[in-house]
Amino acid sequence: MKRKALGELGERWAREYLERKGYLIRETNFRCREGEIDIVAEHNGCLVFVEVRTKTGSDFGTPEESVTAAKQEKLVSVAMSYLQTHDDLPSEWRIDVVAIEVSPRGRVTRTELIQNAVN
Amino acid sequence: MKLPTFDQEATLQARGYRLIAGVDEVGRGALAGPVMAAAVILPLGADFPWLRSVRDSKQLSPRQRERVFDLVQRAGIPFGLGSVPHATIDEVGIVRATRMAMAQAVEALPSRPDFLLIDALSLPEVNLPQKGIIRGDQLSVSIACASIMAKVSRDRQMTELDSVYPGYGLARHKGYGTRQHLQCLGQLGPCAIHRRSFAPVLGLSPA
Repeated sequence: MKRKALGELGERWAREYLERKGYLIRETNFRCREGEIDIVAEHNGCLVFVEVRTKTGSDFGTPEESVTAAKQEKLVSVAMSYLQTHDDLPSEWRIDVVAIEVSPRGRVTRTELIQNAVN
Repeated sequence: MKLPTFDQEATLQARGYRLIAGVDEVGRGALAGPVMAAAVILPLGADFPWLRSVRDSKQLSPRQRERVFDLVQRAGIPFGLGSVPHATIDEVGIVRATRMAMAQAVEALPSRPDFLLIDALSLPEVNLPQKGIIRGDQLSVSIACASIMAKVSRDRQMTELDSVYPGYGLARHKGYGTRQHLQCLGQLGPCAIHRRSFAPVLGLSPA
């Protein structure tokens, strides 16, 4: 599967998965000068920025392992930018990671939600 | 606009915390100079009349901020300052630099707090119970007070730096990307304290 198609599949899957878990999706693919964040949601009165990591089994390492320190730094930067440019926000926020593994044929084989994955 | 309250602090007091520090940063978005932070421990049940005029530094005039700064000092309220220079910001990124400045400010307090109320961020590297609050500077008096201490300190420093690096108007805009600042940047090129990693500075040849 192509990288972009894989990413889109993952994000769609993650969105449905999070909604089932009671997350209220505010927006998807928020972009700013600092970068991009896949999903912005609210969960139990907390603002949640969600990074979706999708990998096929053939790749090295787990999806969540691919969130490097530099990527974490970037995610916080984008979150800060979102906080500055939006009103009507809850008073707390966090960053979650949804890790998705997909078989070479495009079937989701594993989904894991890591809450507060990035400090 | 709602005024900051002691609600957060009162909740923490009820849970047994006694030395609650408000922490805030200033200069994160500026194109030049350091990012700075302040930590302030307001005494429990502090009842100075002037505390009622404390609000997020962006909502006060420079004179009002100077006044609060002096009153905090005169009342002997413990506070600490942190400062991380442009070079470190370029090296480690602005979020990490901001956290370093905040951690420094906490370290600089005369006594170790037992809880941190922080504007927006958390400080994973500081081993203290803490809470990051979105718009914390508008909600908590302690954070608002820290925002004023940080702002006044940085404004003073930028005014001094203006005489070391004249021509950019640093005393006026304090390094933020105003139209005048961008114009000077275009004409003169960046000086020694510009943040090279920031978009408007990136790719300009130095003065």
